[in-house]
Amino acid sequence: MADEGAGAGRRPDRHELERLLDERGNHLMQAAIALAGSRQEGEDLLQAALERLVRRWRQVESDPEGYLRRTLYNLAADGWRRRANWLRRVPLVQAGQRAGPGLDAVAAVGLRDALGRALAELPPFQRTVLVLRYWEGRSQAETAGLLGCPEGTVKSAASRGLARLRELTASWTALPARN
Amino acid sequence: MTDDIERLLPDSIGKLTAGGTAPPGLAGRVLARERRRRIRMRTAMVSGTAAVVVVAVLAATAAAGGTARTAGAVRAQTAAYVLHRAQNALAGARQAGLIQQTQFSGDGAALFIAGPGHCDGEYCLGIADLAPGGEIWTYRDRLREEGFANTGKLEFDSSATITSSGKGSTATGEAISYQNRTWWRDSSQPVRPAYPSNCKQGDLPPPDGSTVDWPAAVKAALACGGYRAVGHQRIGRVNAIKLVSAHPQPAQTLWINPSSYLPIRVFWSYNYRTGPEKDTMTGTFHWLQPTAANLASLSVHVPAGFRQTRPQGLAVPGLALIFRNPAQPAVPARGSHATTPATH
Repeated sequence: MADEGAGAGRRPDRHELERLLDERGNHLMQAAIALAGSRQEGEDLLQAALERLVRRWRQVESDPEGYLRRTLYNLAADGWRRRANWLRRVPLVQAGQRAGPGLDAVAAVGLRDALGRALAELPPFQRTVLVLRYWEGRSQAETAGLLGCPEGTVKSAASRGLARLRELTASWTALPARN
Repeated sequence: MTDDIERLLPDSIGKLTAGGTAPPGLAGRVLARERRRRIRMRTAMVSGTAAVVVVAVLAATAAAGGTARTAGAVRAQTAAYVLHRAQNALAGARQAGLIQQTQFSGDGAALFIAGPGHCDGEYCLGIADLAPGGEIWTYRDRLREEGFANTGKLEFDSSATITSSGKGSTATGEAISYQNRTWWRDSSQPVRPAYPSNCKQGDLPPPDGSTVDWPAAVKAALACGGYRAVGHQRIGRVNAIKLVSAHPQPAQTLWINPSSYLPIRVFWSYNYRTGPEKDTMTGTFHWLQPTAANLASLSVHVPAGFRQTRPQGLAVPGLALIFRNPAQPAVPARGSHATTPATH
């Protein structure tokens, strides 16, 4: 089975990689946190993406950041880390009910903070789509292009993700409803 | 609330990520891990596993361009191995009680949930909006379906438990209409039986209103022997084994995970129109452990504020396909029986 770049191609030296991280590392780290749901997971995700970048360096060294970003998004969307903690679904919050222990701790915090945490409970692909659409401000077409899927898939994932966020945060005090 | 969620989401994410900085020493750690990985790869390639050797023979033979007869014999042998392993994996997945989640998305081809509305004889049909996206979960005798309108909006959600007796199968469960903001419980809904193995029909049809047990359907399709292995293709981060069907319409491609031998993606391509344009449907499989949280995905969750109504029928197991067939209207009239999906 072929492996990407195994044993072939030029690899970056430490200075090249450090230069990339000096210039763009913080924003990439923030993207990784948003995609993975926590700082620790974000760091692991960024490291996994960087390892792939190293393997493909010769092919992508004209735009390593672009390749790194696409890798981040696709690793995140693909659920690169199949651990039980992201496969577990938080019991859905219904009106009038309190959430499970994990969410009780933030019950007193506003909806804004709850949303950020609830985002981490979404399936990886939905979370990735919402991060790309709402945090990075990508269009539907751009998001579909980055993830290599039809726009309809992006659309439905965003819809499902938002619907699940609404359910997860239903018991928090919302801002006054708009007409 | 809808507006609030979308309006607050950018700030929420921004707050979550605020202050995030690349950890020191990351470059060094990455390079060190990559060096260790290359050493492991070299070791693994020398010793190898049966699966890796088999698949490598397939690729190497095709690349080397050996005699057609030899290459064909080797290719047939390794394809048989792949199909055999895949069938076993599907049987194992069922035995292990894995939840099978399939996400569908169509380009031209679309799905609609055969759901509440008019009931006539064998099953009820009624939802008329095209749904370019849909999702099915199956687990043993349980089934859940979501359907999305062509606007991307969640249109319909239904879950059911299928029971079989000497008199046939029935479905019992709940359904939600997001358009009407209603929900209901229903039972004793006659349903068609699980997808039977029909090698005359060809290979794996898209869910057509009768598919309850997707792993069994895929296993049956593979057993018909209509697929051949044509190499590899990267699906996400998996270098998947690619199988194509000999069935001409729809053209089908199935990708198998070379580690688990479970299917990870299926693709149908229909060409009912003149010219090169095709209508396609893609199904992406996910195999989930039956944890409490994942099992919860098999049940619908009624949103607050939705009104319970009288029973209006349950979605027929599986989804039905509508294609942009110039001989047929794209969307059946609401309230009428949907047309039978394009035959294949």
